[in-house]
Amino acid sequence: MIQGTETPRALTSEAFQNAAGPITFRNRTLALFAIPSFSIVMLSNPARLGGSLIEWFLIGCLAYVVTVLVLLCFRATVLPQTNRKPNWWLTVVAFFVAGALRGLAVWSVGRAWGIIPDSDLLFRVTSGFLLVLGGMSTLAIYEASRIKQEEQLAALQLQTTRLDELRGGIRERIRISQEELVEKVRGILQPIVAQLRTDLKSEDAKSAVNTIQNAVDQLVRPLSREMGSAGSDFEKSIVEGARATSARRLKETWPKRVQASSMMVPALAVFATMTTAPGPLALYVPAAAFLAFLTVTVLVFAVFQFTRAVTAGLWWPVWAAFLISVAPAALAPLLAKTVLDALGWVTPSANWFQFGLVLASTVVIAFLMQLVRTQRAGHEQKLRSVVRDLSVLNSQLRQEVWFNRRRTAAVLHGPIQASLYASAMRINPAEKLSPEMVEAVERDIATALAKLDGSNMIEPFESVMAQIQEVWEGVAEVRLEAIPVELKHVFENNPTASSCSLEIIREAVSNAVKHGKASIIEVSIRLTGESFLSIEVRNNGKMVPADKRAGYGSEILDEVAFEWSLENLPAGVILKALVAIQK
Amino acid sequence: MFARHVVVVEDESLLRDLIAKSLEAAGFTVSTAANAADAKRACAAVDPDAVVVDIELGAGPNGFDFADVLSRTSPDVGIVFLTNLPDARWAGRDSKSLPNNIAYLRKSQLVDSRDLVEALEAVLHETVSSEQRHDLDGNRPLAKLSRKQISVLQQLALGYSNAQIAEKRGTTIRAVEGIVSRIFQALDIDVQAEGNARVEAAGRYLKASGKAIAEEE
Repeated sequence: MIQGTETPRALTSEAFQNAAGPITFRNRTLALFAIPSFSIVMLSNPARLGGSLIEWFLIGCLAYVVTVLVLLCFRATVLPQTNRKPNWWLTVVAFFVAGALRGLAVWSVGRAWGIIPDSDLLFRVTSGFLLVLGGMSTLAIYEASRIKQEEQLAALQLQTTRLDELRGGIRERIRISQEELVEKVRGILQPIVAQLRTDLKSEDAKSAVNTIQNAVDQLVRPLSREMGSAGSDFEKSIVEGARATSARRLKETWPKRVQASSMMVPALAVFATMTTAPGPLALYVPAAAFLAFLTVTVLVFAVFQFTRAVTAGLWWPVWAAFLISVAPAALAPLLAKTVLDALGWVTPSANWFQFGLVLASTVVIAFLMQLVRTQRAGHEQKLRSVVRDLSVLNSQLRQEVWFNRRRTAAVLHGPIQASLYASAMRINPAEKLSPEMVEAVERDIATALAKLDGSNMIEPFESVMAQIQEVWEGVAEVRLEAIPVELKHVFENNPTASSCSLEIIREAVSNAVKHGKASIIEVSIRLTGESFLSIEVRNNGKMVPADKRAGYGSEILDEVAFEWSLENLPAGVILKALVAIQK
Repeated sequence: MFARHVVVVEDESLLRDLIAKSLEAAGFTVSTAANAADAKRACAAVDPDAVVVDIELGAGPNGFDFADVLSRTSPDVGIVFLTNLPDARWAGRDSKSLPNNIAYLRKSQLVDSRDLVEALEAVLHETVSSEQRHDLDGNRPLAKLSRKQISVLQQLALGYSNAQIAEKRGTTIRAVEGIVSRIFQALDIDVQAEGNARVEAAGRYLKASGKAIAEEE
């Protein structure tokens, strides 16, 4: 069977918390209340009491306006719309006042026009309260669900934009920052070289040595800082860029298939029954009103639960699920009327028709609410995968920054610094500079400067791995599981992943020997999906104490691995790490 | 006097040759190696009296790894580290974990090749003085911080929040807050002053690690 996104269970407590919160008093909720408010007045009254449709329409307008005005008064005073906590008792008081005044207004005008009998007062006041309670609560529950869905969509949108930006820009930005860095080195180096040449001309060896030493400090410090902060600036700019990107409308994807059983909320149907049934029952079967009410409530609940049980686990197209959900709203009043008639508690059919409509509209609202929640669940799922993608990219970014820092250091600092040190050491023993010395120093610096433009030599994975094995030979045997061909391709095309993997293995082997006194270390690397390399380094050394795990080479692993863990085995320790691969 | 044999392990060829020449001039017989694996082979071939080793040696095993192997297989070979790292903590090690009787010289502090020769003589005669342990010099960058603090400071400089650091270290946020505030104290960072103390601390780390980063190869 084709399945869709699982619909989250409707939590009754959460729903009613929402009904007591600020969402209830929003303009939109108040406007939506017009639907049940007018329907209830227009549907049963003309048939039961006579009077023209225009008269009942005007009474309907009055009823709605009075209700909304009272609720607005509460909103302006004790139940503000700002972010406040749900307030149960005040909300019920507001509903009671609004409903009672509504009933009173309807009764007064209807009586004056001769279409509502005096005896209807109590019925009007209580059913007014129950209508406001039921209608407003149900609408607020729906609205809360809708608003949460919108927030979810906005979050998803932001994350998706960030992800796109990262995907598109990551390599380009790193390349640019690398070029800027090289330019900066040149900028710093040129005046130093000029000063050095002046010193060399003066033939003062001591001053030349000082210049060279200063040069090393000047060259290394500011540049390293730049390189270190390049990563954080880069990430920051991406985040800001993503925030600034104008809100691109994310395509709303409605679920294609749903489970009808999850789309029904029996609690809401029972709630609708409790707010709609008591009035008419008190009016027509006053002696057995309570028992009749109990019977109706139990029947409604039973019909809904039965339908849910029968359809449980089955996936339907949305329209079919909708029809299935509405069916109990038609069945329940029919069944209730039949049972009550059989028990001798006879009530007019018009009332059951009205009850059925109220029940149906509650079911529709519940269905919409659950549909939105299903959509939200789908988005949440998508959001989780986007967030995971983001964290993979962040890990790749950290790798890139680390790798570039290392590469830059290797090319820029290594030879340049070395030539400067070498010059200083060469000059130092001499009292006076000889023309040969000057020439040698100039040559060293020129060679070093030339290396700025040189390409970055990356050592192949296997040759570095062989170095690791050779170095530890005699102390520990480092075994490497055969590397599959596709993994070799990954390493060839992805020097960052190759270097990061080697760094993890180097650190793991070193720790296994040093802390665990291991004698056999087995390294295995696999491709895991499209985005990861999974590295496992297993050793037969001592177990790692739980409180020490954080310290074991964690700094370097945090930087180059997407995630990593250290676990004790029955005999030995295993380090597992994931390395993100650039696509 | 018989010439003593020294293996020089340095990945930068210019510096490697220069050190070799200086040591030869001082009467040593010298073999050179560009990485740890070469160095191991050279040691097996010549069984040296001492090694002069850089810590950062490219993508493979580093100088500490090599020293670990050497001190297990040939514990009587003297070791002189010649590096840009202020101290062992910058390579994720504890200074106390280094083998005994080693000299640790920072390249930036070494101009006169005689200092290197003296350090070599000291490890050969087990008379290493504090002057030959630049890694224990109180004036080295961030000397006041413990290894744990350096590690937390590094994570802070990587942009992790206290909660993320706590998760990575397997500890509580409260514990990390404590470590961070002690780092601020040790670095004399005024948490009340304008600007972000974390940014300032990260800046100090990056500045101090300049040489470490420079050598991180």
